[in-house]
Amino acid sequence: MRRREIGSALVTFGGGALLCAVLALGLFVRARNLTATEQMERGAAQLARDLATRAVTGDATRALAELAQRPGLIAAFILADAETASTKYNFLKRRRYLAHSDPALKNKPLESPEASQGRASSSKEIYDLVSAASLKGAPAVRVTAAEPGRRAQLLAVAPMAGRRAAALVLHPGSEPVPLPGLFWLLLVLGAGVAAAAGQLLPRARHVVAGLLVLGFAAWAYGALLKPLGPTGTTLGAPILAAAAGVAVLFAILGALGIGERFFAGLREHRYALAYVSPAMIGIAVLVLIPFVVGVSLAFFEHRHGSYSFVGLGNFKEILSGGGHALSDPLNFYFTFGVTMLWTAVNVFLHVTIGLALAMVLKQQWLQLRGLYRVLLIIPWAVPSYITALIWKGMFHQQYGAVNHVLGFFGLQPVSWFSSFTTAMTANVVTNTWLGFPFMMVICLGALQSIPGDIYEAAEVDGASRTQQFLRLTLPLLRPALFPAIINGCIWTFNQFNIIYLVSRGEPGGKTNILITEAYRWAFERGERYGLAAAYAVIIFVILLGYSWAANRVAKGTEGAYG
Amino acid sequence: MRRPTLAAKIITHAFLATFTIMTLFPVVLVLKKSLSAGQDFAVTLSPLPDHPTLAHYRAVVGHPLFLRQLFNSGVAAAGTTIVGVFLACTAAYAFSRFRFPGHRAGMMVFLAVQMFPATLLMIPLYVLLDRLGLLDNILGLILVYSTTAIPFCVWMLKGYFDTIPKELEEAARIDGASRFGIFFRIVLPLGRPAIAVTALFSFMTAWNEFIMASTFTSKERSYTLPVMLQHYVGEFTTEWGSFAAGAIIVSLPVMALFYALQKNLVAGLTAGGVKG
Repeated sequence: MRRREIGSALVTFGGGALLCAVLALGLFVRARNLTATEQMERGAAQLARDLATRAVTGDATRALAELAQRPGLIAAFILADAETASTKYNFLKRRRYLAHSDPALKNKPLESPEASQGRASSSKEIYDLVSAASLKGAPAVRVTAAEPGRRAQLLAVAPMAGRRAAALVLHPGSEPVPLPGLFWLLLVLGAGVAAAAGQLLPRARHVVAGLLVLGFAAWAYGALLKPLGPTGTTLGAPILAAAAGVAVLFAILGALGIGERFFAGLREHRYALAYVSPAMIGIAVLVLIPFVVGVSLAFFEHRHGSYSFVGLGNFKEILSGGGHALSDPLNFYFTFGVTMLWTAVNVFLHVTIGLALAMVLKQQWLQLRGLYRVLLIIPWAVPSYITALIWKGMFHQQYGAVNHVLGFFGLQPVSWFSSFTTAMTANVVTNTWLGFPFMMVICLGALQSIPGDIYEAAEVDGASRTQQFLRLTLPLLRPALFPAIINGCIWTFNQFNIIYLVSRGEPGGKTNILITEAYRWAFERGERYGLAAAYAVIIFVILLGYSWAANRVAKGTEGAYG
Repeated sequence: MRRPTLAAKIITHAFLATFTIMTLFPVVLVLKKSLSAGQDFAVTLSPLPDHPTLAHYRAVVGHPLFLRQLFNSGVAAAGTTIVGVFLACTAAYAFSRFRFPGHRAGMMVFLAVQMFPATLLMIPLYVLLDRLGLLDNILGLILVYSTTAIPFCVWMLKGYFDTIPKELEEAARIDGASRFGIFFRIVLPLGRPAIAVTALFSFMTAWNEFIMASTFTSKERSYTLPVMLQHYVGEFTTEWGSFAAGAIIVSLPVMALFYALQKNLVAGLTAGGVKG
């Protein structure tokens, strides 16, 4: 009994201590390296600017050759290549080395791993810096974090005239500073004290754990970061906020006794966990981690490759309408209204058409049933981006098939993407074409599982066809149809490809839905990743609330049909 | 069962035929374009190609990297199917049969991750794959695709496993089967229709995906077919002929799967049958 309590206290505080350690480690190393490299930053920025100036005046080759003499320095010119540049994904523009202090790398794309050879930073980092420099027209400097097997590095990029190219200087940076042994000692002592405190005050120990995490973070902030001046303050605020969050979480979890129940449950349910854990681990690594990173981004403002903490600023900007009138497509509520309309109309059409076709196709006496079914499923088989591109072509005012068909019936050609109604119609038609087969297959499957003798019995009892449909078919379809509709709403709400490729938001951004709006903020309107992430979080919260409510309704009405 | 009149039959067929023709119209248009000479999207109502030629197909298949990209697409889709189905089967079985702490929360997590727009997971995923050295790598794509496929598969399989009567498993346990034996000998064989649909879904997810593939690959050698295809539709000029031929090549395997698995597809989505 006693041993178990000590064990569970250690487990609780071990977790807290581990978090502290990770937090402090990153903090400490990062802070020390920053001070060490602040001097070098200025030097490298100067070098990059020199290089860019000399490149413009035609002295590039000699400048490169001179720089190559200095050990550890790498210099290069980078060129955004218009031919291979991706117009859709701005951050993935292909860039090449126009020249490099290592002649072998000339004309090699920035992305290739040969270009880095383990010395340079990842191409994504270089790319961010090049974008930042070309945007603001001044040198951009950045220190990459040291990692196991990789030293901290200094990157400096200066834009050249015309802004399509930039000069890059890589500085090898300094070795990461090792942690003092004293730090570990403090940590172990802290965990021990916490465990002892927990034994003395069993009910309050989780609150104590939370307070200790918070206290430690505050101390680290004061002792390590404050002396660093502005860099320390910008670094410290989000870390302190994160620590406060962890502390509160610990206190709540502990007070509710979730920690202990969790570990007892692990033993009790080991079979279930053996089945669940592989999928859960996969989901955790590839969905939850990016998810957490994505959500955290919502609290930052991204400007020219650097992030600053803005708290709830992004959410305020979105939910207040961002200073745009309600009739302005940039206003959140306008886009939200369009999204709701889009979802409702599409799902209604999917279900109605799908159900109608399924009702017809289920008839046993119908010849060629299989053929119809196979043919009608085809739109589902076609990838959605291909569908979108085909329909985009079909809605072309001059060459599009849709206007040809209208002309065949003596109607005037329509300029589909110049008014909201027609552009939305084009989107809806495309998405309906894409989506009804899924609902049809779901309905068909559910209908075929309904035994025919129920209908025979109903007929004997004198039920009309309408009565049979309303009282028998619909209730029996519910278990299959309801989840399909809930999922269908979510898919349509997030249907990126159709809106983005068919109407492209035309006219004037009016047909954008929330997801394309978010995408445009990230990649087409000045790389505002923070604002885009806040949009994503809002979309997520809306859908979470929706599906919670939908499931409640589904559960609540289940009994009505027995 | 009521005997339908001739008029009812004719009306039904007329309705179905009209709807089918409307549905197939865009597909026929693309098929026609792929067989017609020229790259423009000039449209006539005739379903027959003008100046029939196989030149577009030859151009697309004859591209030096076509086989390589086909291989990438195939491996990514097959890998996603295997990983996704295996993980989803085990997880769905646990969610269907065991009550454990986190049961509800787990199901909710699987539902919730479906709601977070995948488009906006791209930036963090890019950084993550970069750190793992899995950019420009099929393995990276398989991992990313599996996570998109798993949540849906888990929900779907759980729904189906729920319909398999517990009595079967209890009987097996009395006969001395182990927990894992029950899973492999009873649940998996009974769940075959649903598993087939799940596999099909995973395969399609991976085969049809293009935004992630175009984000996480930068070399033509590591492109998948959809990324290759997208390159035919440029910003200002579009090679509709090559695009149409490519679109048909890309869509063919999925459609073949539909034919092969059509019965299971419907049976698998049915939440009914105890028939086995």
